[in-house]
Amino acid sequence: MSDVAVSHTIFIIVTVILASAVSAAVIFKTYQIMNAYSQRSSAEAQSLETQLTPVYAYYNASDSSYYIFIRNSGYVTLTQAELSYVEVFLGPANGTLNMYIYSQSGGRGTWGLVTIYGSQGGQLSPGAMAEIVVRTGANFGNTVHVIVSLPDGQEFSAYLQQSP
Amino acid sequence: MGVEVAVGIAIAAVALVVVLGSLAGMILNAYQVASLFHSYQPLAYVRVSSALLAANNRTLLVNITNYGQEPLYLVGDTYVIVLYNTSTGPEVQVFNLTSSPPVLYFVGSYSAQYSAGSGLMPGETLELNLTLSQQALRTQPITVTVVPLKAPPAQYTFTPGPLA
Repeated sequence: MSDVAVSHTIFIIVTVILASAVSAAVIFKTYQIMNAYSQRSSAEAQSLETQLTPVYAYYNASDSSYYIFIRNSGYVTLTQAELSYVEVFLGPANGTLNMYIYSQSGGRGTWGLVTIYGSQGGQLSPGAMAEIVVRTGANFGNTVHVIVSLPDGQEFSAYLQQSP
Repeated sequence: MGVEVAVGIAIAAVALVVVLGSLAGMILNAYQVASLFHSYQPLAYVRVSSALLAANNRTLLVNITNYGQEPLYLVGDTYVIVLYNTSTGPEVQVFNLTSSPPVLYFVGSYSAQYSAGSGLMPGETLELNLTLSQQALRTQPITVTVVPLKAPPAQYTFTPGPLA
């Protein structure tokens, strides 16, 4: 075998190895980017599927509590167990919000489920509307700021007026 | 050198196809997510254009107009929350338009009986005929909150005043 043929063979082998390495690196990086993008898309889609809309709130002086209506305008059902882990933050429009945890038995600083319109079994299915009582013990005024916080960290905020 | 060049071109072509294919996949994925996000956006928005308390103080007529640029479907999945005052104190009543369907719809100067499933096109108005469980005080404000499924809620307050 001549020297030229040997050098050509070595050149081809080195070229193939280098090209394969570059291709493998490009494919690996592309896969990583696509994987990260896919995960982010999935998380985004999941967050879009869960959508709660606080729609109305009024203060009831007889029990010193706010009654808040929350609509499930998403595509995911919230079970009764999931609802029991929901935290509600409520306060005046321009003031500090207080946190209220779930308790069906009552007590100041808690919130409870009054009724669910359009759903059965205590779960909040898509399209249904929940009426909850938030036992504030105080009137925050006509306009309140409410945040509904789900166990997975999603939050749904709204400023609600008893009457505009 | 002809063989080496051919091999190099072939490898480069394969690598190019892989990279371009990955990019096309990412663009397609982004387009799908964008479409998904668009489908979750509110399609319409409504306003309560007027409301009237009849002479019996229990019949509440509410007109809802689609001021958006998209049709409002699933009209039956709309809730109406009415806050009014009675001789015994404030009262809140929730109506579901599946059980209290609209009675009329208006398109310009034309009016007709509402038929379920036709939706509410941009510019059209629905008239709701709601029966309150108690007589409302005409001297106190009445707040009507309309909660469509796929549109932001609309709120309206009026004081009926004494009958002429």
